[in-house]
Amino acid sequence: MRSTREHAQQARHARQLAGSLTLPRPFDAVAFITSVAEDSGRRIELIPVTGRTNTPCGLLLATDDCVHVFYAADTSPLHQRQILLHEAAHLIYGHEHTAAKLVLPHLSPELIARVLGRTGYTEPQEREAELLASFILRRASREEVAARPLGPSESRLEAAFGRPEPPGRTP
Amino acid sequence: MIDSAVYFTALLALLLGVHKLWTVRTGDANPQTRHQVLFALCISGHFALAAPATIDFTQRLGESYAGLLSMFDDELRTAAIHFFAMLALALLPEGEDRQRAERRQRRIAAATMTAAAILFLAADVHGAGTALVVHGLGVPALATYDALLAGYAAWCLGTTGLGIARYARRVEPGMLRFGAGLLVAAAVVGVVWAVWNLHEVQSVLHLRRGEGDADTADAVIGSLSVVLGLSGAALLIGYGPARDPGRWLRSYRQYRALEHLWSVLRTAVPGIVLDAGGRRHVPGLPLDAEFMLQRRVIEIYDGRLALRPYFDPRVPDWTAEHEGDAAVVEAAVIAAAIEAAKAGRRVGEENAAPSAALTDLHSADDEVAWLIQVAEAFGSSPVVAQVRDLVRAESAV
Repeated sequence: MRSTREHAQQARHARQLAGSLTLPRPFDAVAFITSVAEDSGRRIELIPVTGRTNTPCGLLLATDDCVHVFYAADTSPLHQRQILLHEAAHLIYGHEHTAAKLVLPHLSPELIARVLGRTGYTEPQEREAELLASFILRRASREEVAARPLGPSESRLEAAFGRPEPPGRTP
Repeated sequence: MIDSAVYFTALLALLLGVHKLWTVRTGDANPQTRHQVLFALCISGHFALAAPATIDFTQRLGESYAGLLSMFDDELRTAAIHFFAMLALALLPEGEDRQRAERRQRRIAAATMTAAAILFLAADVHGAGTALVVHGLGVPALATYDALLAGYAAWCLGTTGLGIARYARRVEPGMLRFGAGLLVAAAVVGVVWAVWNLHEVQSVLHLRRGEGDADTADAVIGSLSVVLGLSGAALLIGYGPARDPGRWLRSYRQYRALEHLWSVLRTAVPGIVLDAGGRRHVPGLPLDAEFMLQRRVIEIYDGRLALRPYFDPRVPDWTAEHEGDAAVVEAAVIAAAIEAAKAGRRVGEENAAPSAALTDLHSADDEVAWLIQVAEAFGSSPVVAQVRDLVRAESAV
């Protein structure tokens, strides 16, 4: 019962956070994760992986100056998008040190700040990241549907009396 | 009956205001949203105070309290009209002209509300039953007060209605235009209501008493105006998602079409399922069908990737006759992998076979359509059933 309540609370928080983030328009998962990494002062390296059956479908390895994201490339484009967003969500939440210590206890935390693999959602951090990724993807697809060009009169009416503009950034 | 209608209007406005606050709870509200919230809360407060049952209750508190509450109610109504006008001013192009118009609107509203409060207090109004009674110099003061508020409301709603109508005419027929039309109708009815309120001036001058909010016609016309306005605003708020009303139904049908494949994968790989906050569900009916469909698609792909160690390299040979039907081959690969996983028979890392069909998917709709084909083949193709039986028989040996 308590777990269900915690899950609902976690989901609510993730939904709110997804609504407040600045997303690129049109949405692009690569541009988004790049901007998240750059916001933390690091460059990003995206490494597609194919044919590796015993590895997580996404893996984030962050050092002081670079974020390495390994993602399964032998899956559908939508799934790849979700995997990248999941790793971006780890960066947004700042899931630091604890995961690195669990996965690679022999490495110095100064060398590797974060190592997180997308394997399942039973771990709280993985669940949290997957929730945020899912809500970001949902928001992006909703905004794509709503992005039908409006005339100036329509957009002004909608802005004045309708839904407030969510934060967004055009390239 | 009147009480129920007025309280219902107040509740409707309150819900709209709370909904607006909820949508901006995580960030700074823009001026439009602030005006929407303030309009809704002011109009809600006005109707709650104007309901006959509330007036009866305030009479019991004392004559002077009843008078003050009546004034407070009028001020709330005037503030609501001001915020409605501010919303419509956002239709003007951004720039100096719009800022000037907004400044003027704010100044006129502040002056009107201040003058109204001074006139009302100077009139020394007392409650008498449901009416307001004045004597001596209080008569012209209260008459001026009523004329000022009615005049302000008529001017403000009239110019606002004209402003919205100007834009509504340019909008293509559809839900947005209908919503804007309701806002114009609300403004027109609001002007009628303001003009109707001028009879209060006559009543004060001739009878030295005003009906206050106890006038039934005033309550009905006012409620109609607000219900029209709230309905129009509700349509505009819901306009984005409502652009494609068939989308929910389509998503729900697709979600159901993937049920069998997803549930078999979930049994084989329980870790793929994410609890995304169960309160969004009515049992068996996802409220956000598109989100649930999106999750189902992701979970199916997660399951497929998790089964890669069990992908059998012989499946393409077994399904060679159906090489042209990529969905059947894909379904057979998954079915064989599920049987191998059940038997704990890993085939090996080098045998992971990416499906060529996945590279041809260019949109989320393509992905759903592809998975539905796979799901149909998974559930009904005799070829898939044969492959499944073959792997099952091997595993049993």
